[in-house]
Amino acid sequence: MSTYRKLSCLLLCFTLSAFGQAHKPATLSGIVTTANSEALSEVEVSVQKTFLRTTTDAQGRYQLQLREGKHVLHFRRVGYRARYDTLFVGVNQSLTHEVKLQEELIQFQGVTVEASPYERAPTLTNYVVGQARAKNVPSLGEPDIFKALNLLPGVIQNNDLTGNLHVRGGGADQNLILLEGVEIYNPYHLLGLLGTFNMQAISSAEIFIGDLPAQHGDRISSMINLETLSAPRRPTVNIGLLSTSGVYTKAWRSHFAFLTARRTYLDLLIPQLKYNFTDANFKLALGRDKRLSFETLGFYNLDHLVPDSEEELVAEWGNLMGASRLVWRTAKHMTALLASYTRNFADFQGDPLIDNRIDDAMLKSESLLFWKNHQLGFGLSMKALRFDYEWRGEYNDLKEIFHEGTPEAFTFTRSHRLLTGYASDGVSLGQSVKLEGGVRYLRWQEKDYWSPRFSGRVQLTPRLAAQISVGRYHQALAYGREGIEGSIGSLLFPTSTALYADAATFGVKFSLPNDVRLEIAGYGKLVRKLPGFAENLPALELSSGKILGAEIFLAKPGGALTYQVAYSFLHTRASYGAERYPFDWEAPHALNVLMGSEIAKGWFVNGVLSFHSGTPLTPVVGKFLRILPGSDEQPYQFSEEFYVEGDRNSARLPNYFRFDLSLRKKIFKRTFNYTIYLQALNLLNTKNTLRYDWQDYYNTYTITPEGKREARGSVRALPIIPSLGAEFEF
Amino acid sequence: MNPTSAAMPPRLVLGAFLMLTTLACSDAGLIDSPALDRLVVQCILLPSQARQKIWVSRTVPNQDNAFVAVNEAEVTVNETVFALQDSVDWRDPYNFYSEHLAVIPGSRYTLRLHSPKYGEVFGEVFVPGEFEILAPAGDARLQWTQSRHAYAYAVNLLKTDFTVQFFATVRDTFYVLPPGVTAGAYFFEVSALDQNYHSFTTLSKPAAGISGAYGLMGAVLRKKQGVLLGADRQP
Repeated sequence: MSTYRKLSCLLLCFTLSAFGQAHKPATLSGIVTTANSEALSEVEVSVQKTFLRTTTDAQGRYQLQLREGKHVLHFRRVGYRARYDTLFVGVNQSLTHEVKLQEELIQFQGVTVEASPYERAPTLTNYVVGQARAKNVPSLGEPDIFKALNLLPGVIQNNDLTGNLHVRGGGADQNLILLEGVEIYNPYHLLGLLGTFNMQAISSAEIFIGDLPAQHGDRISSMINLETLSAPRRPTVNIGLLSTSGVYTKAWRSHFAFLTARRTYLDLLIPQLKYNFTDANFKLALGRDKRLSFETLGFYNLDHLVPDSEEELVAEWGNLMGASRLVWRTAKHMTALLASYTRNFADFQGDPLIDNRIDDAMLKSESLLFWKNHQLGFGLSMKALRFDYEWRGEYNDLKEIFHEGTPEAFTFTRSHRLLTGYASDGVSLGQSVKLEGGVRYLRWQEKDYWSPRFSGRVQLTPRLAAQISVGRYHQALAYGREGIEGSIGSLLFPTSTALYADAATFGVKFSLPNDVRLEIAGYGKLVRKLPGFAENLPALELSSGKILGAEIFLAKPGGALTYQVAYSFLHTRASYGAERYPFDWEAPHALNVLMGSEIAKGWFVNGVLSFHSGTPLTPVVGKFLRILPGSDEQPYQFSEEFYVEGDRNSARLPNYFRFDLSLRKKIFKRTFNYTIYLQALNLLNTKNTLRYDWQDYYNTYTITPEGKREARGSVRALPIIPSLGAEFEF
Repeated sequence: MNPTSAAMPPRLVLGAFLMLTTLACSDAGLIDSPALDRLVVQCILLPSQARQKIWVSRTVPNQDNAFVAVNEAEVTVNETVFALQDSVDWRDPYNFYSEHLAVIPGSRYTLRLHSPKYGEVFGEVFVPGEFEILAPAGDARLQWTQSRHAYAYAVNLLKTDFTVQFFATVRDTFYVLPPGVTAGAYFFEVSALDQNYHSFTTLSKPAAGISGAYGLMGAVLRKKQGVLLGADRQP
């Protein structure tokens, strides 16, 4: 069957399934707002006498699947009066339910606590992806938050094998990835193929693709903060093709705790791989709703390359993190103290020998003061960073991983302190104008850096809002070489002077009928000193860049057919000496479509279509035989062939296209529920090109029986990868 | 609710989905490299050799034989004219040679080449100056004196049968042997490399010390000395 036929059948099935629904539980979609009709996020929505619960997203939306009958819904959020609503649900019924929560003064042990009436304006650059949505995105056996974030506008994963995100033309090292506010330096398993965070432990991920408020920083492109579970849920075990994971939560009085763990059995299923990974996460929260609350959080992940008895290489890499947070809330103010320690490590014993480590100890304080239409925030953070990098080996790929100039043996040890602080102010002028301004301070390598930021939002009509933001962003750490990516090679180095970007965004946001949201934004960025390094490093490229982009985002989160469509246009130019070239990850056009529907009772189908233009590459344009000195007896020797590269990034890979599909069946039992899922990455088995293998096959091709030219030298990206699994809720 | 407007977004999405799918399934084709025809001149001056050789070739597409000589050229180094040696031996293909050029350590040499097809090529190199290998300090630290104009040193530890025991490139004038090298008699060889040579080999620059062509105008001064590493080194 030809690709077109397969596609047609698939589309037909998908379309029919989306509209031809027979028996199903009711889908309850809703929105929670304040009394002033402003969206209210983080509202806990639970169904009484069941384990069903969810939280509202940044737009105040939520969705639940309910069986027929009478249900009591409980809505609650700190600072608002809890509300109980009774709903009657019929067979095959889809319901929408809008709720307004009233602000209230809450009495905590005799102290009056008032939630912030000032709500930060939802911006065009800020998205929240919840656990449920992330689980619906087809993935490599395991739900992966990075795969879900990749579907947002301005975000691209240009390589199947590395999960690195490129946000608005930025490098992968320009994303700040936090777990509950604590930086995780290399959050990937399988050398980047899979995110390291177990979705059982993650309740939501918030991403700023630009316009970072002053309280976030130290990276110039984006900030991703992952929130872990904060409310109890049923004990769950997920048995997938790659691994098994589980979560256990416990709530008592005002306290809460959870523990998750995951272990792959790749080394058992495919012994040739000699590889496995493990991760674990826990949290203990004391006095969640009290004036004074305390949390402690732990995270650990380890990738292990299992050695053969005859091989010397032993490889382990991963992260270790521990953090404690003390939060003090009063009527008009909130203060949080955070102490954390993170270690990122990679340890290869053998040839090559690699022993890399980043230690990060942080102490941070943040305070918020709020009034009716006004919110003031300030904070201070001190990081002690230590870098211990060592690699050595004669017959290794270090030159390819790092730089041609990488020596056979290299040791890099540095200790630095990173001091940051910020102050920000948000003001509501009437109902339609919200302004936020702030400044972020960074002290690095004995130099001071200031990053002013401003954003304004005007509600032009009830359905149309416009937003503008400008800011400067600084970054102290960067990869050892521009474009270097990959789990082991992605070493962050301390820059000698912080690189920085000046960025501006303008956009409009439409609230269309039927709960459809449309956002259109354009932005520009100037990046400087990208990247600059401390002395004694193998690569010292120093460049700057210009980035222009536009985004269109259309989303319908509720209803019979849910979808989100994200289109991104990107144009980049890096300047390095006299060279001008696009960034390695520039895809001028990228489109990601996520569609989901309940096709029959308990059956959910989700499809993801990913398309982007080919990313740039530097072609090999010719070769010659290199001649080098030999021995006294043979003064000259003929060395290997030398491949001459053309202009930097002057060619492009073919366009990339992939269609992923997942099918989930939820089954409700008296004592437990379970979900069976079947998913396939690259369902159409599209032959995307990962890269070209220049040295052996470049410019040679064969003619297939269909008369097509097929590059023998191209290395294929992921083929079709089906997987199945089951999730049990006890 | 207006049913027409309710149906519009799904239709739009499905339309876009279909359009993009069709677009993406089209044959993206293969990248063709532009034909690159550029002169390659490779000259490595070796003070220890009586005959200096220069190879002149051109770049070729990837599927071709890597060495295609260019014989129509006039080559001089410091006014010494190089003659063409005809050879079909693949181990010693066409090259320009001279036995009248004295390569003196520490001196500057310039290359001029004229090709009717490829035009003028210029090259320049400072041959690394004289240096001496010193007696090892202890059993682990091999050392030598500074060579003028040398950018780096290739360190070679050879067994007495001339098989390579250890090889490294360093910027310093000493090298500390790793623990794996056992006791015994060795030849210790140090090659002083000029910066062009280092750029061409270690940094993989397509042209170093040469303008108007790819290739290298480099120089290497090699010294060798026998050393006896003490018996207290552990195997």
